[in-house]
Amino acid sequence: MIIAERKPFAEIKTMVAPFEKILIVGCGTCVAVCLAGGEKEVGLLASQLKLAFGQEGKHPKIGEITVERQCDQEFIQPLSDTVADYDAVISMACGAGVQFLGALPEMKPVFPGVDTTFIGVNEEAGYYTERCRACHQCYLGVTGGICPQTMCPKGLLNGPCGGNVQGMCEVNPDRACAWCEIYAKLEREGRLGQIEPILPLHPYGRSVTPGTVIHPAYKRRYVAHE
Amino acid sequence: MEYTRHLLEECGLGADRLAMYDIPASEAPKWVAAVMEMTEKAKALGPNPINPIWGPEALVPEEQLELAVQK
Repeated sequence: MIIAERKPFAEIKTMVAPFEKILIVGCGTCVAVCLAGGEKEVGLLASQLKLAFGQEGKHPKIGEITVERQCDQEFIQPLSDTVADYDAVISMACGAGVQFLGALPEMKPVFPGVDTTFIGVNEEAGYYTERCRACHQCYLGVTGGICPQTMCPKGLLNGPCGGNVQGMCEVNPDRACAWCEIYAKLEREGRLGQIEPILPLHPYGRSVTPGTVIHPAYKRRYVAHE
Repeated sequence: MEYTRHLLEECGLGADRLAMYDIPASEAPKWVAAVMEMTEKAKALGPNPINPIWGPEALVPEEQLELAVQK
């Protein structure tokens, strides 16, 4: 899932300070799981804004709403009517959701409430780690399910650098070397031979932004956009 | 608890206005000491910075209406 962190309160307050009617829109999927932008965090931010503006003698109208996903037209389109009553919107979704929401017709100025950090996993409550760089070419089948692009700070595709010390990473000595882990895993599974062929240069050309994916079943519908 | 204190600090109310004490039911003196400590702390911190403007007249019209309906 997408991992995000709530922006510092002062930054959010500065962005919306000029507005009288502010709608905070939460996202009920990834950012809700990582406790950054779900329904509960929307409520917390609304209370903080009311308390902070209250100290300045200001009482802006602050609305709260949380949709299932802000990266899906189906869920954000009904918000077009809701935002009509507000001057500004704080989106608590990841960067994709903020932009998608901001592109709705008749949308008011949209401000991000979180900093989007990475694609990761929920290790334990409140503890998230990165697992995927969304690099357009997945080698996990070759590398024993451990991503060298993400888990190696140098993103080395064909074996470790010379810096690992007793299986630990030279960039972060608290972490195991990704390539040592890949080797150990493949050895356990009896698949060591598969990392002998040199992997080709990563196709960075495919990573040109903004990326687009069209499902084969929908090619005909979107052919004009290709 | 620590996070809530952080939220209060962020919005300008101050983290010291909130504390949690772990007191067993059989330890009444500890409870009294905790209450006195918090009272002293609250006095030292001064009035709630929102308080002076927090009367019914400070409510926005919708909230005033809500209050009137409740009465």
